[in-house]
Amino acid sequence: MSHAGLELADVHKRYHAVQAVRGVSLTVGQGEFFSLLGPSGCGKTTTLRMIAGFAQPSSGRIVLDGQDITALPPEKRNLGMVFQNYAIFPHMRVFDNIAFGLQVRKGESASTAQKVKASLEQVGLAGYEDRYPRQLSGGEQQRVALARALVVEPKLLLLDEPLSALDKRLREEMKYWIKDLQSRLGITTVYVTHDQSEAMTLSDRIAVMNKGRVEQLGPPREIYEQPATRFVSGFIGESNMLEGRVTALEGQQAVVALGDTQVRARVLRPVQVGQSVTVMVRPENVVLGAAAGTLAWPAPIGQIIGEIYQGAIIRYEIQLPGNVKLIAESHNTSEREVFPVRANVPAGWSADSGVVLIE
Amino acid sequence: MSEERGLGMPVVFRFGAIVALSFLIVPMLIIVLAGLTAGGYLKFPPEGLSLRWVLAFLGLGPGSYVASTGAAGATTVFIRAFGFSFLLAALSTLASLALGTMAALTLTRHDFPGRAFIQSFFLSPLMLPGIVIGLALFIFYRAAGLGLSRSFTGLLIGHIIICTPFVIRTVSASLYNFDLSLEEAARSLGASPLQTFRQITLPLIMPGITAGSIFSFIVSFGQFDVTVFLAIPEQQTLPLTIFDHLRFHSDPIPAAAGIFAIVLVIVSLLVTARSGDLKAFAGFGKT
Repeated sequence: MSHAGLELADVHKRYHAVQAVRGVSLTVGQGEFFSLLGPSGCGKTTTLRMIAGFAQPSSGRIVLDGQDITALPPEKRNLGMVFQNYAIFPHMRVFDNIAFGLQVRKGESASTAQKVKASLEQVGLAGYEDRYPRQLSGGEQQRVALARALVVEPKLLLLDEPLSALDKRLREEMKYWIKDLQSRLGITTVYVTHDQSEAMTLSDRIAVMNKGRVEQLGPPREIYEQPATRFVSGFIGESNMLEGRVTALEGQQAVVALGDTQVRARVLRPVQVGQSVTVMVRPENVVLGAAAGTLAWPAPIGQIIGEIYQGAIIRYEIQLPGNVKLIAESHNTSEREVFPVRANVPAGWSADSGVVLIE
Repeated sequence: MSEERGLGMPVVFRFGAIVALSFLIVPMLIIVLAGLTAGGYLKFPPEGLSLRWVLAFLGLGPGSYVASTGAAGATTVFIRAFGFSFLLAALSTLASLALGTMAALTLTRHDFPGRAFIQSFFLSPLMLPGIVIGLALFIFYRAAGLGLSRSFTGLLIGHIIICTPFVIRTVSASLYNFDLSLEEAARSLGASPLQTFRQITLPLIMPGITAGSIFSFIVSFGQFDVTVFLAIPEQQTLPLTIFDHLRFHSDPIPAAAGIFAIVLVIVSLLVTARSGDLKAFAGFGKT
């Protein structure tokens, strides 16, 4: 990430009374795979459309490769885009679809056929030149759309939920294929999705968006393990969200009272004693029984009130004193400790894997 | 969406459809047969069959109705009228295509105050009786004093007003299910707005444009009631010529002219309708 590939500086978008994007600032490094992740209506698609030039920001700047492109029309931005429905031109053969970008830029030339051929080989569709889009499967159309976007050697590749129209099995396959292609080409990529597992698998960094703002920006591990807000921890993966009040601060840890139960969690942002907070713990970090006894702090005793067998994983529902519900997941290994329903067991987590959230 | 289309219809409906179709087709058969008569009068059934009146229409045989305006020589009034109607229909169609396509693009793609009103206004010539439009234009031309009264331009404008709604309807039908991301894809690949329109939008809405041209041409070619008010002294359209002729003569030349009109329409339909373009007019065609 020597210098910035793409930069958004305080970008806003207002549609009449609706604020779709409220001050998004981010930098995407050269060759980086960057995802905009969020629920529908969070502003991720609008942000992508502003980068592509299909929507004009109400204010703010967009800079690509050091050039301010905010006011440029889409055709002058030199970027490749893959649409949710692929947007393959239905009246053109695969060859003409892929050659389109070359032909409108420089006119048909001797190198066109070669480039189209090379690009079809790159996406594993050699020999498909004469087919029409209606003769292609969803996965093949997806590959044609990628080849068409990449053949013009764009500075930036934009992907708008490219996997959402595929069935589950193909989606998994294409996910790894796209990742592989992107890292081979080293092209700067912005990927829009509402699917957290896609974003986690593919991205170098993720911007989690909500209500037109970026709630958190960072690598997948950071987003998952150290969520900045309740929204982020709720949107990414599964989590226990325990409401309580800070009773003491010890270095990077806070003691939080959940009613009658005292627990510990990591402090990432400044908090005061007495402040109302949420403690976030991932179910896989909750330990039970003997393991909970070895924690550095006294784990509360809870009652197992439910067990769900999921094959590789066993899910327990635990009730802590003061009517606090906790979900724990443990791997179903042969040496695991078995807990019968209604048993009273210590339940806790390493203080570093619980996170104090204030907003 | 039944798997055997048309077979699931109640017998009554099928019977009704056959009766309705017959009412549409039988008059055309009668005109064709009347035009092929060997006798000297316009009547049905024909008194034997011959090409006599067809040739007369073409100015090629005895009984040709020589143009009273002289210089044209053997060219008959009918041939001239046929040619004039053809020219008028072609020009009206071209103008309606340009105007109607632009209007359809604006009406389907942009939301602005009064859009619904403007849409109904543009389509209103479909609902208004031609006599009303013709009379209104006649009075307007006279009052405006722009030299449109009894001029070719004035007549052409009248026909364009009648034809444009057909183009707006068929082209709008193609545009309603048009996937805008196709245009965005073209733009992001480096195509200018004009290149995008010519290479992506236009080919994809062509079914609507073709259907619109067919309707526009047929409507203009057969137009009578608006034309009556706007007709120019030197040039008569085919429908007016047939009407005039029927008032003063009893020979079957109008029927022979009818044959040519029917052939013209059938040929243009065969040429263009094979691709299912006409479906676009009904609004259920796919683009």
